Amino acid sequence: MFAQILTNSLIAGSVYAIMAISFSLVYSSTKFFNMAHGMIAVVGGYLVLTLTKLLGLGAIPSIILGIISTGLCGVIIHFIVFEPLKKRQSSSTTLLVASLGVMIIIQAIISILFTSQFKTLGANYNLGNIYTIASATFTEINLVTIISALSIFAFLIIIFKYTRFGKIVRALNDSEEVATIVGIDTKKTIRYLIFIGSAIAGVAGILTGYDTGLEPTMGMRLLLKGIVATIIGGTNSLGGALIGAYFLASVENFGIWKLSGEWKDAIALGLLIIFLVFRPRGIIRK
Amino acid sequence: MDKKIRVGIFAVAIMVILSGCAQTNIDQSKKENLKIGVVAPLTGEMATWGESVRGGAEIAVDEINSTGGVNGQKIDLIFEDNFACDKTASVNAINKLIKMNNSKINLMTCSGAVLATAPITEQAKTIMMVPGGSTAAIAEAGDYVFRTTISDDIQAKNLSKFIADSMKIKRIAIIYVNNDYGVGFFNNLSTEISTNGGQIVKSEKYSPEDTEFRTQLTNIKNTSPDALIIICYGKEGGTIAKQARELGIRVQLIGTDNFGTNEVATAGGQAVDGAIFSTEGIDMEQPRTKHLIDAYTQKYNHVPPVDYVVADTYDAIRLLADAISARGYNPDGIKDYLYGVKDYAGASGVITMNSNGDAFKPTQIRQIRNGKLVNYQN
Repeated sequence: MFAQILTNSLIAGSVYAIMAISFSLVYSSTKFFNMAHGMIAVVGGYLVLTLTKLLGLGAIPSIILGIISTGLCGVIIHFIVFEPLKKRQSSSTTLLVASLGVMIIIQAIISILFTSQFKTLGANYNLGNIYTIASATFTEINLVTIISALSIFAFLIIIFKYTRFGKIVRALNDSEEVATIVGIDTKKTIRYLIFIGSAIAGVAGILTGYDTGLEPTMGMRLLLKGIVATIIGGTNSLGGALIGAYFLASVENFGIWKLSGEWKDAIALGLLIIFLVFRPRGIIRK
Repeated sequence: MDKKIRVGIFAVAIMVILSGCAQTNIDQSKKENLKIGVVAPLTGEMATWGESVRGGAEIAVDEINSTGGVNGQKIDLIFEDNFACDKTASVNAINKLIKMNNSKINLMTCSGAVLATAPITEQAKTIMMVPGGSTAAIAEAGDYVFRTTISDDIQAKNLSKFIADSMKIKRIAIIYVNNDYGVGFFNNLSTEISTNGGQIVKSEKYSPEDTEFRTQLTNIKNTSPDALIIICYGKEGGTIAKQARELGIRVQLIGTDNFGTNEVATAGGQAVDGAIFSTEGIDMEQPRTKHLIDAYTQKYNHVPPVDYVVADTYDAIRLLADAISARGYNPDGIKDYLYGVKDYAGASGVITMNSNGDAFKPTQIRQIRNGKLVNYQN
């Protein structure tokens, strides 16, 4: 039993982790809560749906193309909506409200194009491969999800520690103003970060599409868990996002094990409140 | 200056005359068209229900209006969205329909929404017809509240009997959605399963927006039930089935009427093959039912997502039209007429209204096989 609950936590936590990492990237570069970020993940899922089901492309090319396109989507939205607002020195509240608008628009467009009906990616009918280790079972998609989360994390750590781009990003995180003074093209760097963050969010949407399915309204749910994980883990740290995500998933699942299923959301948000009150900088302070 | 003033007065005079004419036109159309309000989850999580309600209503009204309407008057449907069964939105919608649109006959969808808005329709003495709202509590919700949906206590009774007598299953686990519908149905099932000699070995709840249920299912797997009943609100029933199978739960899956939808079949895939579900007596082999479903498919270019809701709504509108034809657009007269409905051959089955304003129809056990909803075979 314990092994299964732990596995469930790993699976759920990995999706949260991907969302949390992507949100952390975007948030630390733009410094405002982008409510539309969840919808970017949904866009990724629906793009792959279009490529595989409507255009008949293979899974792998569709996924790669989908991830890149999602990244581009994120940058385009940033360019059209948020950059002009930031140029005008808009407050965080204004940006937040604008992002809500973007979220609603994207959700509406997806509903119109694809209907609100539930859609799945991949082999619709059959169950797919199921693995069992030490009385804990998980599917192929679950395994891919866990590996993806950890790989993305490792990949980003390597980039940020060892490449020039990584140094620029760290400088930007420290202080945007000083970075500009030193000659860093902050605008371009932020755009790259948004591209990466949106592409990663797309991965979350695609994986969810293969595992549980797609619907236009799933964006907010994904985003909320990502935000809670980020805040619990520590907003300025990728490691924090990862730890926060797995911690959140574990508390939720072990909570359901002992309490009742209806408490899941209450546990997640209750945990958030506890952290905000007692340890607002998160598990990993920076 | 002089000329300008004259032009001004002339313009104002024209506007006054025109608005007077327009007012008369509106009054004329008020006299001509009968209003029926429809509150349904047109957008959001339950949008496929709303789509089905809309489809059933529009097809019924198209048919009625194309033959001249009711006693020469056409029916106007006024749609209001209650945003995925939100109770506040439903209250706002019914208030608008009754007070602003002056609609004395309204359809309301979703169990929770009906319970929330029933007091309003009672006080206003307007008719509320429910084409999709099955929780048992609606029976007592009001004198002016009627429904073509079968009440859950009837479904629970028939289903429990079937499980005990025909399937001979005793140890049952239940996973259900935590809302008015789910909790109500669970309570009905608990009583009926015990009455029939069965035992609920584990019950687990989940929130309507949840997408993964692995830990609840792990708890259930641990008690080794002989069957799993899934009381779902929408397509997540299929996801629950899929995750149950993935976890190694191989027992018979049993669902309620919300489980028996094309959406659940799509979401579940192979996992729901062989699952049975209790549903209203919609029989696709009946000509009038098939005619309705074909009309829907032709009009909207895809099969109805929730076919019995289309049929229930269609029957609701047609019953109301018959009532208006007999008693006029008069809530009290319509109320008396509806209580007297007996053996009405509707697209959703043969309907008799009981003293609570509930449709009494036989229920059916059906099955999902190869992604299709079919009649049950052992």
